[in-house]
Amino acid sequence: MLKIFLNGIFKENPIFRLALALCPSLAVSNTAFNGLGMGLCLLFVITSSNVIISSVRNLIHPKIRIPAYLTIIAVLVTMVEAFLHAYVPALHKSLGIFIALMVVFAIVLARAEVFASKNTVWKSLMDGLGMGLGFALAMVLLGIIRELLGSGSVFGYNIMGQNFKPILIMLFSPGAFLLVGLLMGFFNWYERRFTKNL
Amino acid sequence: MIKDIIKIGINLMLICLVGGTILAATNFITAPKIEEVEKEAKLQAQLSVLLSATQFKEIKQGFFKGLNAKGETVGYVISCLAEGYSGAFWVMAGVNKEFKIVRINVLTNKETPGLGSKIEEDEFRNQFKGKCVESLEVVKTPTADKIQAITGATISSKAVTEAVKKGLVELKRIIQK
Repeated sequence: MLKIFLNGIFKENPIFRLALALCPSLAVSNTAFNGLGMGLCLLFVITSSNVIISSVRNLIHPKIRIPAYLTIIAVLVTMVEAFLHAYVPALHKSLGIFIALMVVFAIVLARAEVFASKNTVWKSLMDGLGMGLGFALAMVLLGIIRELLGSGSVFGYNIMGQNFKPILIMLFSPGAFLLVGLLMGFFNWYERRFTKNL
Repeated sequence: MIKDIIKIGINLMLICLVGGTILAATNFITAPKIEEVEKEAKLQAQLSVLLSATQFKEIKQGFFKGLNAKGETVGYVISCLAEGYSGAFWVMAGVNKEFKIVRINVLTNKETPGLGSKIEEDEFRNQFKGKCVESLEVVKTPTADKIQAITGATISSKAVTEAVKKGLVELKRIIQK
């Protein structure tokens, strides 16, 4: 069980390993707050979609499993959007269209098809939590670095001082793309070094 | 074959039925709250350009009358659509009873960061204070009675000015009719 949970965080991290959630990681990781918000939304969606799909997996006709999964995911995402709009309007505004776009994030459907449709509810719950958390941690990491270099602050608190000249490109998608690539390379290098020593 | 189609159809229908019911319930809970939030956000945006008012009444789509606590008209708020350098965006302008601009506010836009995005800054926006329709013209040299364009962002500067001007002319037409 623990292994399934940790799998999503390290070995198969959605952003740095599976590269399955690049669209949001480029678009809404411009500040640490946005990264955290998006991460938590996805954590909720992927965990509940995994649990629901694994519990009804024997009731869904195999021929229509993809539309069925998408309907379930779309219902969850629409719920998240409505509740965010009503109770956390600031986050709803800054994430914008990307809340609704969670329906088509590859990672959610991929986990439904690869994992939840073939495993028990408990295992799927662990997989969802691990994947969601792995995604959230990666988003916060990207958000912290981008906000620090791009606006000199972290979670809105100024860190670099008044004389810091921000690296504007970090606030745009190309900067995020560079950063994702560099971090991906770093994690690969780190793992290879680590396993060699074993 | 036919049996299969019916089976699949019923299966998908059931899923959609359950999903639809859940969404209806969600909407029932959140809709009133969302309306409240949107209303509050709109009021704040209007207040930011016309501080002397306490409530607003829509005269026509995009045109609002600002009333004070006693119910007297203190000015107007217009929301104008500007055609910018990279897409359209909204500008809100507060106008007093003499049709002079009190304040303008540039809402979410996609103008070039560092250049066109300066239309959001006070240095540009404050130029509109006290201006009437005739003075709403963009020039490239320092000026006191016209609007000076931002260096490197003439299109964005013009977009804002033109939009406000158009709104103001329309407002005058509506009120004086």
